[in-house]
Amino acid sequence: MNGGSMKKYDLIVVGGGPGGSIAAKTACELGLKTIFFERGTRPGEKNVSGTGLSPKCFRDFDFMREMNLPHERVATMATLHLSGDDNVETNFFSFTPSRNAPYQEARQYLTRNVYRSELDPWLAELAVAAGAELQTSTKVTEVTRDSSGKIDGVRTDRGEEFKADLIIGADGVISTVARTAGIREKWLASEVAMILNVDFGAKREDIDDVIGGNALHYWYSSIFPVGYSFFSAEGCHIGLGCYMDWWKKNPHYYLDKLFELEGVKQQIRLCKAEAREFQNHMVTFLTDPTTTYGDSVMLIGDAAGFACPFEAEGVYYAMYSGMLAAQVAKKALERGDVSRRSLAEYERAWRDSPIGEEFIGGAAIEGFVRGIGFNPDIGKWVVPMINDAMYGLLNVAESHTASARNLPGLLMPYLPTLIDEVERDLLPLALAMGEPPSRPPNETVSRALKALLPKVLPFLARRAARTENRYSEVTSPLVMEHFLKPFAREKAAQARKESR
Amino acid sequence: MNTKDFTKLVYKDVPDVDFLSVDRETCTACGKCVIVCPMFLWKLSDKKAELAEGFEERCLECGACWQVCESGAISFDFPCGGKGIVVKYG
Repeated sequence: MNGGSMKKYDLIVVGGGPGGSIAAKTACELGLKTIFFERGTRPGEKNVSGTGLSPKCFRDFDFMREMNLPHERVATMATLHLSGDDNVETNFFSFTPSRNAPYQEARQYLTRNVYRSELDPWLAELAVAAGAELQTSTKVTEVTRDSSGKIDGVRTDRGEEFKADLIIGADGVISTVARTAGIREKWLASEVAMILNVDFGAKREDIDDVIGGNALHYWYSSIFPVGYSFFSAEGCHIGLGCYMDWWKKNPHYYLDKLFELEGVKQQIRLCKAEAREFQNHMVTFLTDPTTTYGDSVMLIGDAAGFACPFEAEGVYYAMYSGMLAAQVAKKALERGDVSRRSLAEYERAWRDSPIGEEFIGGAAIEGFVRGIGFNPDIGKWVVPMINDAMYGLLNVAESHTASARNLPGLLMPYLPTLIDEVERDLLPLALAMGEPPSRPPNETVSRALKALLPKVLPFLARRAARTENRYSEVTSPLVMEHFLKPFAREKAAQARKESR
Repeated sequence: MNTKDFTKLVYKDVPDVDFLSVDRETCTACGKCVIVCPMFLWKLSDKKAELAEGFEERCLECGACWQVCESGAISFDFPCGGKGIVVKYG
């Protein structure tokens, strides 16, 4: 090794994505001599993302309000589509920003959809402008150690060594820094998902006409894990994903189903979109990140497992953790202690930030995502249930009086499964949002529900059944099966009793 | 729809180093790599996982096969700096 080529820095950041760039930028602003490394020939070349930047990015980072990328589309509406096990869409629901949302950006849009190939270079430029040194086309192969075994820098695939007392690992899900610093070998298959993504190009006017601001579509299905189509100014990303321990068939089996869905085909056809690129990447879905630092090392973004465990938003958490890690780096260097004990301050900082807040309900969120979002099996009853509820309320096949009488019977068959699901995945999620209760009340609640609902709904159904409809018959087979037959038996028994 | 056609839409500066390999001794032929690879680069031959010819040109470098390999037979490391997959529209 050529000792003369060694360069000494205060801080080395491994990775030139949004996290690495913000860490480098913040560190330079705090006066630290900083270098950051990017594997690609330019930042953004190795990254895939769903494209949506949340309003939080613009609330918390002043410089983000200057963002002006050529292919941005502002999403002012999101749409959830439901489809059954015959791969036919049965329902869709949309939502827009609430007028009562807590801050201005949140009231204006849901996300700002951009390309990472444009966002990442812009963020890296901000870091360089702040004084950071950027070295591209460079893979960091390992952290280096001094004679006492203390981590003192990194080695690159060009055989160069760079020295610093502190290293920030911003090198993604498969983090070389985490691995070679001995912090973590590999995630569990249950902690990581893979998301397949197809990029399409289209004319801006066509997307404006067909999609406009309704630029975030989720495709919830009974046969494939939830898919999406997200639109930027002149293109869209269409894909799906699931936990690494979930796949029983090749992902293309499920991807085929998504692209066979009429709604997806329609979007592609009407936007005259053409496939340009096929991508796959892994994202962490953790209940609680526990491996985020070690002696002389802090991990940020995907390397720390900071993707939101609900819908895998990653950029904001990467940027935020990058900022926090740089601030902790400054303080640790000032007190001359970069030991694991000293860097515990970093974990305290992210736990006391929007990142930690996201993970308070981590286990419950994971239960919900695994139980419902990523679980097509549950769609097999959730999708028809939601449809029957809507149909029961709004159909014009009979008089509304008759429909209203039919409704409890329509929904009755779903009740046992629904109550179980509410108890297993939804109540824990609702409860996780508050202070941890002294005694888990979910059992009490679900016991009450289980006792109450099966009494109320049959009561309503029976009342409906006792009332004669003058113009239409109560003919729903479900109603017949569950209420009228028992009722008829009851009536017959009553009649027998009276005749005696 | 056959989404397999999309797998042609991959851009790379093909690396000349081994970034992905399998140790046939350690491989237990569980077949998980065959299931998850979206580029169809793995198959089982003689009850061992085997990489397709020319995988260097098609591998997305996602690490999915390495992640699901429980026996640890698959080694994965990113190709050297400036080489490998180029994401144009990420």
